[in-house]
Amino acid sequence: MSPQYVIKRAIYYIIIWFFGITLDFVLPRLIPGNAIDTVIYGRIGASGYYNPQVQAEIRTTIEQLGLKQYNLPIYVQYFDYLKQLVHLNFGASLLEFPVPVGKIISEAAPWTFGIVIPAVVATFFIGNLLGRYAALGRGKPRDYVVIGASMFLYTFPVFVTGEVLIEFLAVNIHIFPIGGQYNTQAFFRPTLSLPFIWSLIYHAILPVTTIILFSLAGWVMGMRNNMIPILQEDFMNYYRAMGVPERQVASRAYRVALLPNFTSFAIAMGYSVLGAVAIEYLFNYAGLGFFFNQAVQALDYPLLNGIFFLLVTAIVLSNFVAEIVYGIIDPRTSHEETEGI
Amino acid sequence: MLRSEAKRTRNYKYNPIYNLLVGMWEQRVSRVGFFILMAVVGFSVIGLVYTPYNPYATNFPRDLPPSSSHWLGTTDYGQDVFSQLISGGFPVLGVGLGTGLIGTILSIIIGVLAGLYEGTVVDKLLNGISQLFLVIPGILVVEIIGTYLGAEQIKLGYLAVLLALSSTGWAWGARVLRSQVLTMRRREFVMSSELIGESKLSTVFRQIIPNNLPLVASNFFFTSIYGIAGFTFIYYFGLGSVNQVNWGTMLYWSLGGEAYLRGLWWWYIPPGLLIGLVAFSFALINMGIDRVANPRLRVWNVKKVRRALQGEMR
Repeated sequence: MSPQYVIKRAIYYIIIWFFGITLDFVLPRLIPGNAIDTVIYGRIGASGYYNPQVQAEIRTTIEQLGLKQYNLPIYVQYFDYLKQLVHLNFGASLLEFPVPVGKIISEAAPWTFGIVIPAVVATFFIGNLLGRYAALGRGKPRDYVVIGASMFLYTFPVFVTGEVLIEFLAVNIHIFPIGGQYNTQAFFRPTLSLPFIWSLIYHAILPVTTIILFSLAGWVMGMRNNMIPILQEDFMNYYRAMGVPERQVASRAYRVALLPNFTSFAIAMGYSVLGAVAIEYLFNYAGLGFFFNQAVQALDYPLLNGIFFLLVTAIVLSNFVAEIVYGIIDPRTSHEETEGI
Repeated sequence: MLRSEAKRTRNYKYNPIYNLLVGMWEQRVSRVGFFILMAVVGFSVIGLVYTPYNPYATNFPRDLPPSSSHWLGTTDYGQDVFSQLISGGFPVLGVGLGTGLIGTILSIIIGVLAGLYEGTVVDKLLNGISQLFLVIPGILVVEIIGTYLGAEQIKLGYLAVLLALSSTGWAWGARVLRSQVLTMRRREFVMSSELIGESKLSTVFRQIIPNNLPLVASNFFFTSIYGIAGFTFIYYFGLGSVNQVNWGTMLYWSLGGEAYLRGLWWWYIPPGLLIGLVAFSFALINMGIDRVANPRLRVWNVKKVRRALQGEMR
């Protein structure tokens, strides 16, 4: 793999990233309704709009919130936005004024990645092993059972899977908590102690299980469909002819078939973040998805921008890393001809 | 299987669509998928003409468990779940299949254009856009667009949801098709027709796409699954107009009524299950198509083949 290749891909991904950032700017502003109106009407509530005292209050609110920028022409807003990005400053959240967006995100992101990363790693192992199990028993009942079950869990709406788990494991038999990130009882303090860490894990089990169940199918199908042709290759027959037991033949085929699945790892990360976004609200788990939903409902542009920015950056970066790593483990991919396919 | 193949070769007339359909029908997975889909469609068709009660009525006792008078119980708002379920299927099916259709057409147009103008600005631009849509989480975009639709939906109805989903769901298919167009154009039979003087566009539609029909079909079902997932997502978070009755809004209201905390399983499991079944049937049909396109994945029914062989020998 040549350095030119890495640089070329890096430039490519930077361009993609830049377009993504621009989309991040454009999309929230397409939403009808105006940030200023939303905030002000939210503040007034039922009190009279024509009351001069309230109007004066509103005027100071606008100035406080720094909302004037939303009345500027769009290109000025865009340059301001880019300028803010350079400083990683997204301004204050409208929803939880005057908390800065950066603070909300830096508090929420660890929760999301804390359930997504274990889920993706666990899914990678479980899914690949299940796929191997199905491929070896191809055409047998176990093939149909594994594929059918994982496919059904993938197509079943992920939040309904979560609801089912909550109802049967948390409400009916009280094995797991119904939501939250840790034990919030009065005597319980979040310190770095064993009970606290246990409570973190204990609360993460159900969300992580939901994401695992949802994203298993990709690995299972990928592994099965990679492995079946490999099991029929000549070099596998050669092993068999040499008298290598079928179990060892299978484990060799498994290693070959595992290779393409590494590229899917980054994509899987993206999908699992989406899965997390879908279920965090359900599990009352204050991660990125939780705030994203609130921000969409409340038209909180700065918060939306910030979360979207983080997700786009993370996904573009992981795609880039995956491509480079894959280029190292399988040098064939970094040739000119296959590029862009 | 062999006998049917022999029958086909006797008066042979190549028709890619017919070939694909026969191939799919021979795969048990896609047959099962087809039957599941037909069952759900049939269920929804009945809902067009007959519902036990008015699905919008709210005058029943609340939170009733399933019984003979209310087959799937009632909701927290006093609605009959079964009536809502039977009348709420068509939006999901329509938006799902519509997304598949529009998304596939878009991906054909964009993929073919990019493949034909390989290496030019057009190709790079289109490729960049599709990469962008691949990388950016489409469902988040849909969620933001969905907020926009919340206001517009009164005028546009389900069309707005359909447009939001199909405009974000085409990227994967476009990239796959582009690479197919690139490789196919280097094959001898396509090159020879181009040398005879067949126009580029004509080779695409007469040679490249018919030869890649399984790919296009599988892209259609793949995008349809995305459409159904996106539809559920939009309505589950209450971004569409939530006063319509469909499986998505049923999930929304059951979330609001905290059905899963109060043991009202009959309220949220049936719509979730039906949404899952529709998407599952698409996935099964897709698996069948994969096996048609890639014979190495095919599962042969050994007994049937043996019987056919014996029949042929006699």
